[in-house]
Amino acid sequence: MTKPMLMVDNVGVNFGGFKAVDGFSMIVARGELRVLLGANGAGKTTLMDLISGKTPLTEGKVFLDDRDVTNWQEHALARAGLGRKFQIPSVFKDLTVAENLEVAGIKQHGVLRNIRMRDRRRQLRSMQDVLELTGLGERVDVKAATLSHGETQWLELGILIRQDPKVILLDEPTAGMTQDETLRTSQIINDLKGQHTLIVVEHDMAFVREIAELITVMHMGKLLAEGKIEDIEKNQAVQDAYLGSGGIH
Amino acid sequence: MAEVVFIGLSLGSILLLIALGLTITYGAMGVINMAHGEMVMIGAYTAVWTQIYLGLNLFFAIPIAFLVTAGLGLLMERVVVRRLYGRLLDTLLATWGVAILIQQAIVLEFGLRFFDIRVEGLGPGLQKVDVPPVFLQTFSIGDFVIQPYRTFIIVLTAGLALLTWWLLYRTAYGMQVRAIMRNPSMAASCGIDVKRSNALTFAFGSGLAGVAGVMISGFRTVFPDMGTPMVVDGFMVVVVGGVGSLLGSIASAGLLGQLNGVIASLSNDILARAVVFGTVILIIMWRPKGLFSFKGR
Amino acid sequence: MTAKSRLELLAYCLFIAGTLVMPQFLDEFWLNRVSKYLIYGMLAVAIALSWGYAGVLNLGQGLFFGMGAYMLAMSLKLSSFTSLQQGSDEPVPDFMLWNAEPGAPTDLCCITPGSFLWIPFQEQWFGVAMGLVLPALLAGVLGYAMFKNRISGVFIAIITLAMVLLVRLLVIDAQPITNGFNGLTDLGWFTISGFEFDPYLVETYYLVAGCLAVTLIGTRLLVNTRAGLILQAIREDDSRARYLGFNVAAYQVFFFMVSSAIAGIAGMLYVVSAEFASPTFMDLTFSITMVVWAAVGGRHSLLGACIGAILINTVEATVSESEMFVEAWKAIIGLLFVLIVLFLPRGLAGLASDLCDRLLAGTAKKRPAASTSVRTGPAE
Repeated sequence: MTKPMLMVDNVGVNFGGFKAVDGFSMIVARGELRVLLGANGAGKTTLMDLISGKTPLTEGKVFLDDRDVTNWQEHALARAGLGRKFQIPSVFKDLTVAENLEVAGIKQHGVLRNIRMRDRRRQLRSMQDVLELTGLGERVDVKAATLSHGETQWLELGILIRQDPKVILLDEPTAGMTQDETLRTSQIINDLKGQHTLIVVEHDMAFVREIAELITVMHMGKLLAEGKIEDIEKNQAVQDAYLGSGGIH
Repeated sequence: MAEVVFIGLSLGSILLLIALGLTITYGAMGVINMAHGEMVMIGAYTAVWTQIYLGLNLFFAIPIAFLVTAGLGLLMERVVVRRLYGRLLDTLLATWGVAILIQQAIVLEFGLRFFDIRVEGLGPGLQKVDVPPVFLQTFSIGDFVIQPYRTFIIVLTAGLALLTWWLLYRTAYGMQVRAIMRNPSMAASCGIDVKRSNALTFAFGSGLAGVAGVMISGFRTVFPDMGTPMVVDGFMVVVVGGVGSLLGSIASAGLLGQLNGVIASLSNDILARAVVFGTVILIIMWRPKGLFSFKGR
Repeated sequence: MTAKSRLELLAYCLFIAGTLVMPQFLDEFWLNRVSKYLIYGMLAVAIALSWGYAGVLNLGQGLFFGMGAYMLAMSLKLSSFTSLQQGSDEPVPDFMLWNAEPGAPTDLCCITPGSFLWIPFQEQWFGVAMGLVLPALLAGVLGYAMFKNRISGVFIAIITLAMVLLVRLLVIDAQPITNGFNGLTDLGWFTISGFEFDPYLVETYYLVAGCLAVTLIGTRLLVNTRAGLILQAIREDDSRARYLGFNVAAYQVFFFMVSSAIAGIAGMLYVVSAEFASPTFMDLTFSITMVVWAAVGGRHSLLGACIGAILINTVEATVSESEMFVEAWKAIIGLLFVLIVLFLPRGLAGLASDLCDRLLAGTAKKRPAASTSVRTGPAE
């Protein structure tokens, strides 16, 4: 087996007595697409926050491509190869679509190195394929604030594609989307698959079936089950855990 | 030593008197009211007017000032503040404009100066309010000299703080205000009339500033831009204490007041103020949410 | 280049050309006045840079203005006629003699406690260098402490406000070396290789106008760089910017320093043309007034903010014939400010930009063939 891309080793966090994530471990291989499943409050988003340095973890370690990145600052993590999409789409609202993608494509991060003029034409050329994939070609000069909900989600995915990180965390990429929009999103995600290691938090089972290979199920901050989608759907522990919240649907 | 503590206590109580209104308007409504100092100033001028035109002393000015400034606050909320909810820094800027307007209204005697009509008790000059004679006699317990006016301020401040606490934590209105504090849109969907409640809160906060103004008029001269440094002090108290925390404001007013008093007794007033500013900066850097704040996730 | 950015370029050119031809129309008295307004314009540019582009509302910009002013004023004070006449080999400021303990040596090293700090200021270049370095340095330290701790919004406003008031009090308290409330007056003239910049000379006006032009062009180019774009991205969503690998604090500190350095330069220029430095530069009112200028002109436009400052001050000067009108003008400014925050948050520049859009949309309709090429077509 090749070296894992992301290794989460026994992590936990304590919010004043409440353990939102508790002794959770997970190994994600290079180029894998892992779906993270769990009822509301199972600790999925908190786990994402722990991996991406948004919330400092109180126990355990996180390894990214063999480097210990436990509790690194966000920008250092990003430079080490981590990208994240938020549940509530996070784009630069007052900048145009092109400017959003331009910022995302900057590979040198220092202040002084970026004191240089911008080249719009070259930028537009370099972001052509991303614009095509996300269907935002017509909207390059529109401010991100005026995009629809679905378009904003795609712009954020586009930002991640331009950033080109090794590992991408996607927090509910289809939340609030219509069916058509979901379809396009799954196309984008399938396109990302292979070149990037993906971890997707999702509720929509139809969508999960569309994209998933391996599934990890969380419950009360702990690992409940891990396996192929067929196994997970049959898994007794998973069914029990979900009975309270109406089962997987 | 006891004297220094007493001076610190009275400085702290004046700070708290100014900050009380801000605590609730900023904490509950997310409005940085830079015209709060002008409310204090209007309160002080009400005391001047009560003395000149009604021949009444400071005691009577307290309720009148409360009503006058509360009314002004209500007007301000209706005309300006209401349009700016959710835009914190814009409230700061717009109310700064309002502050200038209020100041100039006093300087220009409501515009009457253009017609060469002079109004006693207005204009750019200094005004003075006499303290009722009861407060002039100091008496002492042992070595400790008690200044009755300062004591009165401390007692009144404690009373107003208690009243505010009671309103916020023991009445239906207070429950609504606290709900709005945490989540305005949720409060609105629970059927709370947020607009009305906010207007009342703003009026109450302004009214408290008016009372503060009356008290301050008893030992300082009254002039049109007296409010500017006060609003700064008030904000420092509120931010250091933790936005929206009544207890925090009380504690931080006490802390900053004592600090001011002690340093002033060791060196001078200017340096004491400088030390207070420095402390405030450090505290905000160290705990941006203030010493006492909501524990949130 | 879009037609709109061409128009913007035209506006910059017109403005700079306008400031440069002023001496043809104004007498020396007015020229000196206008040079002060141009300096205010520079301050507004600094505000727009930090507030509009970085989203950092600095309510203590007067601190950096004041520091720049004091640094140069110290040098100019030592070169004044009175300082040279105090019966010592070295120049000694007159107020130090008034503040000195009886029997203290009339020497810069030890006439009053701390007076030795003045010694290097005998060289004018040192004052100029400090006027630039000190504000930037302090901004760097303050900015690092704030932005590293991820302090934002209103807390920055309060910290910067407390900071300017703190320094103001220290300056007032250090009477023996700062002349306290009175500030530094009776200064010599700023001199470059033998040329003395008398504030009423047309050359002094050109010095100021030139500095403003360089500042405007420089900052406009700076916000147009990739770093400028990243800065705006940070303003919009700092967390997203962090997850793209940008060290947010570094960008914020850098631009905070640039903005402060501009304020420092403005302070020095002000000393050159007004011939005094005073603690009033660090009054709360002055710092907020700068924000008012920028807001009226348009916080998101460097040129707009600059024009806002000049416009307000020019009008103020023309109505200042009687004290009553000055007071009334203050009230008008207050009202104007409320109205702008309420109804025109992007200021005059925003208004101009909207008019521009409408105009361009109009011309595009008239030339249907060229409607798609607005982006490339020359502005007619």
